[in-house]
Amino acid sequence: MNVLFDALEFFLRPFASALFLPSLLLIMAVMTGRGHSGKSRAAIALWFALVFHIAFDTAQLNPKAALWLARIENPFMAFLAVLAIPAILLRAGIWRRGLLALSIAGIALAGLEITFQYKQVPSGQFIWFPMRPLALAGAFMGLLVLAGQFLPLNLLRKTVRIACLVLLLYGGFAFRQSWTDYTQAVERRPHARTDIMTITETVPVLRDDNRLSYAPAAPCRFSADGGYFQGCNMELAQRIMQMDFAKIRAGDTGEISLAAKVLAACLALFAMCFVAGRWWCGWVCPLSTLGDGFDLIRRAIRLPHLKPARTVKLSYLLSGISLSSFGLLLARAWPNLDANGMMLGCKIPLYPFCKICPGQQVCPIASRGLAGISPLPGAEWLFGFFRYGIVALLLLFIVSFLTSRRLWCRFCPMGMLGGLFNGGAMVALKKNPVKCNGCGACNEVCPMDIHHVQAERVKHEVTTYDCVLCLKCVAACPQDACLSVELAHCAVCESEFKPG
Amino acid sequence: MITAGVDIGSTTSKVVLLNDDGIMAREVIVNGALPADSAWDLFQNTLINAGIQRKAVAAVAMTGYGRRLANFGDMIITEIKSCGLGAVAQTCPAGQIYTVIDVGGQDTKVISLNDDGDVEDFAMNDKCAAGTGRFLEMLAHKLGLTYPAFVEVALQSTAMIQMNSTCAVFAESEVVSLLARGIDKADIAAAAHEAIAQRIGTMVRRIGSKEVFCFTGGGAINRALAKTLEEALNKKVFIPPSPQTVVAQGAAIAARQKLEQGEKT
Amino acid sequence: MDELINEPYRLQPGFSDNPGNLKRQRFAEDAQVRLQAALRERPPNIGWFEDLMRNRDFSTKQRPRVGYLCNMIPQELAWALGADAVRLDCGNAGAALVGEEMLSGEICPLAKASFGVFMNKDSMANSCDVVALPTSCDAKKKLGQILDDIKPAFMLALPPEQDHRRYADVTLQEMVRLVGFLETHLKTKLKSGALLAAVKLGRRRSAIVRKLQAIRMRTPRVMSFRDVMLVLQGSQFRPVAISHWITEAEKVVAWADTAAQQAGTTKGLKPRLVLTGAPLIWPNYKVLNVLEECGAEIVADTLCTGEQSCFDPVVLDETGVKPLLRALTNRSVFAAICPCFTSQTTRLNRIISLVEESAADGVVNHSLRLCQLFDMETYRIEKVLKARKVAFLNIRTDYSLEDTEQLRVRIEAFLETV
Repeated sequence: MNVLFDALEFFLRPFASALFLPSLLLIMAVMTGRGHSGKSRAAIALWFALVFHIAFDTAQLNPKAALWLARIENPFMAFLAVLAIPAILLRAGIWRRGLLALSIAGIALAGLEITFQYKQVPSGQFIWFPMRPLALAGAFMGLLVLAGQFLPLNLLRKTVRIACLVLLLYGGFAFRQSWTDYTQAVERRPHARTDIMTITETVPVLRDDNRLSYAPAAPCRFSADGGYFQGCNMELAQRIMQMDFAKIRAGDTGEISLAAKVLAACLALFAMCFVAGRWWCGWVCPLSTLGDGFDLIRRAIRLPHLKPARTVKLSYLLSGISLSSFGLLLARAWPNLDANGMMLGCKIPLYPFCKICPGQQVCPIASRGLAGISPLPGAEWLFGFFRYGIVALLLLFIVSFLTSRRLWCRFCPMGMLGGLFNGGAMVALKKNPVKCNGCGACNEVCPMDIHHVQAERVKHEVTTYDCVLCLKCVAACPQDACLSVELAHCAVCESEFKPG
Repeated sequence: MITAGVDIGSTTSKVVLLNDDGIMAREVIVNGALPADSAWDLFQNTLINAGIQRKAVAAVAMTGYGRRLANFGDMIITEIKSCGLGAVAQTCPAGQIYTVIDVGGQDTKVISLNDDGDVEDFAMNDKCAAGTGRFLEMLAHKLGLTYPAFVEVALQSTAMIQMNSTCAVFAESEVVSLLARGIDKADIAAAAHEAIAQRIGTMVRRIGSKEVFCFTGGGAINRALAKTLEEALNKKVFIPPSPQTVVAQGAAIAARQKLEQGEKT
Repeated sequence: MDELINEPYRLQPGFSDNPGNLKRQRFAEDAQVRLQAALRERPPNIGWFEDLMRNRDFSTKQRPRVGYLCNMIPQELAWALGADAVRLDCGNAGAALVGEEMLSGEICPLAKASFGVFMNKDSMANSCDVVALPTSCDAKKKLGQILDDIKPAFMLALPPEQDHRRYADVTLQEMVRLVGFLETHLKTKLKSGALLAAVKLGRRRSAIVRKLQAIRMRTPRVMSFRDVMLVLQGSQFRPVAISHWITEAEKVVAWADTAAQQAGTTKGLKPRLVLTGAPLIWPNYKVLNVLEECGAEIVADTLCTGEQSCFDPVVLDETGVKPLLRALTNRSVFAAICPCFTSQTTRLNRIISLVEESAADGVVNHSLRLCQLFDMETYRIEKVLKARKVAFLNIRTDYSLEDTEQLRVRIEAFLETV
């Protein structure tokens, strides 16, 4: 089993690099723009994969290069590149069938891996499914690719969201790498409850603490063993702010290596944003999935949603920018704090933004139950700011989702980064204006209340900053081939009229 | 190959015989009570005069208002298409014809042609007599003149007066009052021609026509109307040698084209 | 017009019993039925639709009846309140004469006729309990208060532009007001379950229309366009239980589908036309008669009384009353291609995409005489289509049969150019 996985890892490792997928998609986009056929694009993709593999393996010979490359890897990226993206882009029958076979093989392999790992669990003990990250990533992607073949768009999105929720909140706890790994995590747990704010990772990572991996959505680091992603991009931003540049100038190796890790993590993050813009918000973010639980309540009691006025939308955006800037600024104080963690007579926490982020309450509660509620800051915190801040924002979170669909996402700093990429990312929302009948159904279903998709009558590109690419508009549009989603300039799915 | 075009209009019927060298014969007759009978008689007479047997005529194309009334035709074609074909077949020294103005007994048409000589757009006035030959006939009668005298006198007009009525029937009563005021017959006649020319000008501008203009139909024989039309359009118009038979000629050409097409396929 | 309950200047409704005119109205209908009966390939159950359109006895009704004008009042509201919704736009030349005598001769024939039917005590219009009309064109706007003297009338204020961002909320409020009006007069309350069921029936009708249009785009000769109009108009212009109509219409679609498959894939030789413009309402099928007699196939249309009227479905998302009303407003008002809105883009989009989809040879625009909206609308449509090298013919006519021959020569000449 181990031999099999080592071979698999050798084969797949280059594709896990954050350099591979964006470059591949860029090449695909250029090829499509130049009018190359599907066959020639596929051929070029295979050649590029081969060349990249060879280059990657050669680079491993240089230890520094190997270290850097190791920092920007993630097995999910590998399976995204090998399973999910081809499943989206390939149309021809035989390739599709090949991919389905691969997906099923991945799931079967994961099954085998679980059995293998379970043989090492002492009898009488129970843990969830122990499997290597590689097996988990493969099975996960395989399941989603299979689901994508059969499910209509809305149902597929719901499936992916729930799958990502489970993975990001419980993955670390439920899906352990092995029995040993699990026992170590359990040992760490009691400390975690009392010392949640220390830099020692309570969150198990895929390999060792030397690698940081972030996703453009909001997988909170404070979920019980979120595991596969370190945290959200705000945590990365705070880490950047926390770096002691004086030490770096002085040549402190520890600080320099941290800076290198952080830089690598940024690269990887930007790569993921480049691949899919704000799509992570629409389909992956566990915070929004949890929030939409409140939306479900509202729909169940048949309460109509509130459509936010322009000023409301703007004020949410500006408050989000201000609060996150303030939080980042406070994080800047970290290098200058004294022994008691005080500066100017105020105690400033390690992750100031996280102290007011509702995600830091919602995600742990969802993953660990009420025991997950981190103790609310006492009076020693900065002007009681954090105490009131968290309550206010938590209420805002709940009320926004309860009354106004995804109004919260306009505030969320984690999504703001993705939004910046929305115009130029590889994923784009497209419209054929001639087919539009002006009905506004796209606006009716839009959780972000975007009017632009309906209003645009001339241009073909309709991705806006706010668009979370949930694709509800594409599913709702009653005109055939009016709205569509493109990945690297290839159409992925189109609107069509569905009778019934 | 000999083909024939029969144009059964509201006032007159026309027949044109066409062979490989060009027009063999063309004749006009004023319709009796049954236009179909008049057309049949004319057709027979034309054949006799040209010395041709009926069976030598490969195809007969019917056009005009009464195109469906007679049953001796082999194909039916609208007068618009025939008019276009006929106009294009004329030798016009001024250049290629792009607009055809056809003033008939009871209707007026403006047809615009494209570079290939095919009909591109057209406008018709067939609802109201105020823009047609009927209008001029009525007014000639009211002025107590024969039609040719009416035309002659119009050419001698010196003053410009405006006729107010938009309706031909009301124009009649207006003529009476103008005569009573002592207005010269020449000026009244000229004003009547002016009214028609204005109407035509409006139709021409509506379909955005361009030169060279070709003037056909019975109205084209009227020199006063031709002159007034040129003034209204501020352009010269080309009048073919036999303007009344242009439509019938076009129908004969259409029949010829249909046969040639049939031979090819 | 609930505000007009306080209206100080009420008039007594005056009727005109003119047996000569009623005879004319009946004759207009019978003449069209006879003409269409001569068609060769008709659906086997076309008789059901003919009987529906020819029925003249409206005195007995099983449900309350809501009359409405235009295509922007959603029928689903009436259905959800347990009533029948009948469209009162009239296509009868005889009724237009009544309007000409009593109301005005200088307005469009549709307005004249729609007024005219109210002058007959036993007409379908007078069998309605209430009337609802949108403020689409000037004629409809003024007709509101005129009709309010006869039946309780409601005016739905339409936005001047189909700008969803600016006007969706305000138009929704109008729809809510309409619901309130209907609830008061029909003495029931609107429930979300009933509204959802009604919307779903409407969606089934949209599916039927789309399927029929697709079949005829591929093989237009399986069914005459006049029969298509007859089938579709039955669901709007006569009181009928919509589920019954759906059952019969689905039979028509099945028949047409089978016929199309048997007809094979040979390309037809007749010129293919897209019909656009002012409403053509049974029995005023004069233009359709001439077009089909001259040998053209009408493969698609954008008429608010034809396939376009039921083409756009209501998009379902949330199912409370308010969201459903929003969805209805979107479909009825914002997806409408009526020229009463300032922008022509939706209409041009529809014409151009239909021409492309159906590989049409040309577009025929039918405008009603004395209709300013369609006259001015045609100006730009003609230029835009000419710039795209699409053959275009404009026909301006009214309900009378006097100009049939003039129409014929124009249409024949146009067909010779495509």
